[in-house]
Amino acid sequence: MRYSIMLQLVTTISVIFVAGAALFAWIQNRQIEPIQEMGINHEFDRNLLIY
Amino acid sequence: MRNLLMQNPIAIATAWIGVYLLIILSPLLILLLYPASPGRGFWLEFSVALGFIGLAMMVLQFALTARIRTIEAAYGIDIILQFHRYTSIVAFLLILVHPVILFVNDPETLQLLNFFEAPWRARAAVVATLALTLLIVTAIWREKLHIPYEPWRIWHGIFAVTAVGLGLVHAFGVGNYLSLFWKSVLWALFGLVALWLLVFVRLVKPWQMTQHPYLVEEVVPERGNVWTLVLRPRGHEGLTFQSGQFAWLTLRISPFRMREHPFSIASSTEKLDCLEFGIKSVGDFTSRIKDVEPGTVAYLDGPYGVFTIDRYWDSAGFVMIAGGIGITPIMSMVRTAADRKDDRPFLLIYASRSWEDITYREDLEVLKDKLDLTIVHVLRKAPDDWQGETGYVDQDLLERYIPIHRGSRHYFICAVPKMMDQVERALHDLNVPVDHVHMEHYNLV
Repeated sequence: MRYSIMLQLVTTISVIFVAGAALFAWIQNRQIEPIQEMGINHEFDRNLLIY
Repeated sequence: MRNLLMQNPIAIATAWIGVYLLIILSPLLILLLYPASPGRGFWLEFSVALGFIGLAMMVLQFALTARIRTIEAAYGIDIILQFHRYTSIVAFLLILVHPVILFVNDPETLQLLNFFEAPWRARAAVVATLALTLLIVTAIWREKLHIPYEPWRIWHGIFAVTAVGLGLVHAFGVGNYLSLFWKSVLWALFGLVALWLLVFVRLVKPWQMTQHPYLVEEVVPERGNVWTLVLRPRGHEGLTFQSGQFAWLTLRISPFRMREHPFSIASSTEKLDCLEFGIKSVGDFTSRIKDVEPGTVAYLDGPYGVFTIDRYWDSAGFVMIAGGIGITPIMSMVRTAADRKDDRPFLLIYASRSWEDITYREDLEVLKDKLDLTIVHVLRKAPDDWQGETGYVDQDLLERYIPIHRGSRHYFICAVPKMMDQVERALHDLNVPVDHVHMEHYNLV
């Protein structure tokens, strides 16, 4: 039973490792969208400068 | 709360698993300190991550097998070694999958297998993987391949050092991520820790053993093809241990040669002037025990193990279930209890092949006068006039003898693995609390 519990533990740990590797791969490979210039913000900034 | 966390075995065991996960995943976690690199594709990154995890797992195998007492005390050395076996197979599979994904993702990388033209970092990977394959195959099928224990142990170490050393060389050689400062620091640290553990196990520990030698006092024949090896400490006070623990024994040769064998201590903790080991003649080393001359130098590494009644001082009593040579640690426990004038009840269910093969039979009878000890002998080949139990220790037999208030006792099982599994299952079916059942697998290798 102790070995059975440990086998389940090792299986869980292995799943965590594979999931961790997949998460790492996704983070490293994800496409980061460039921040788009927002015209309204420029308008807002200009208004701030005026007032 | 703090006290609970420091002393609760489940909390300690869980904490060690957390530390294990954190160390293995740290090579990936540390990359979060850096901005993501330009996308090289999911599968390539996944393959690299599996390689890092597999290599980190292999490095940690050195820590699992270094017999570090703080780790071992949380689980018992047999559990640690079984964990070492299972996780080695997982690491091996992850390391094998690592290049396979690369080859499938980019078939041109198959050229890296051309040993004569491949860059040295790829050659290191190929040799490391071969060493790891040999390590796993010889460990799993050692007995089927008829590899004797001592040469196997030497080659096991050589394969492990080759696999991890060249694995690190490969990782540094590829250098995609290891060019990052903290990442290279981390892996350098991994390498240094593995190297230190190697030095500690192969040099420091043997040197410590040479400072505490023992001399063989006598070798006493016992029933059941068992020999009691009596050792006397030479120039020191001897080993302080808990009843039921074991030690690694080196006989005749220098401990630096790493040809040691684990044996349970059979003597009482109250008699430190002499240590007794019960050794059954079954293998290359053990069959020569009977020929050991008094005065032979011996060295011990120990004590190890959590198979001891000393941890359960508030238990109302104990149930011991032994099969054959599994009686040895239990002998230490009942002898110690007798010396301490322990007034709690002890029930010993002891399976043997025949009446003549019952190891320590006479010694146990003497102990019945000094201790509240009930012995139930279970014989597989009983004489015609035998009135006692026969056959195997099964659920029906256990139900006849163990107390109705199951949780009032702690249960210690030591026998061949098959018998231990059967008894453990039977005790579970008889509603014995899981945390009251303690076992020790004595075939560690």
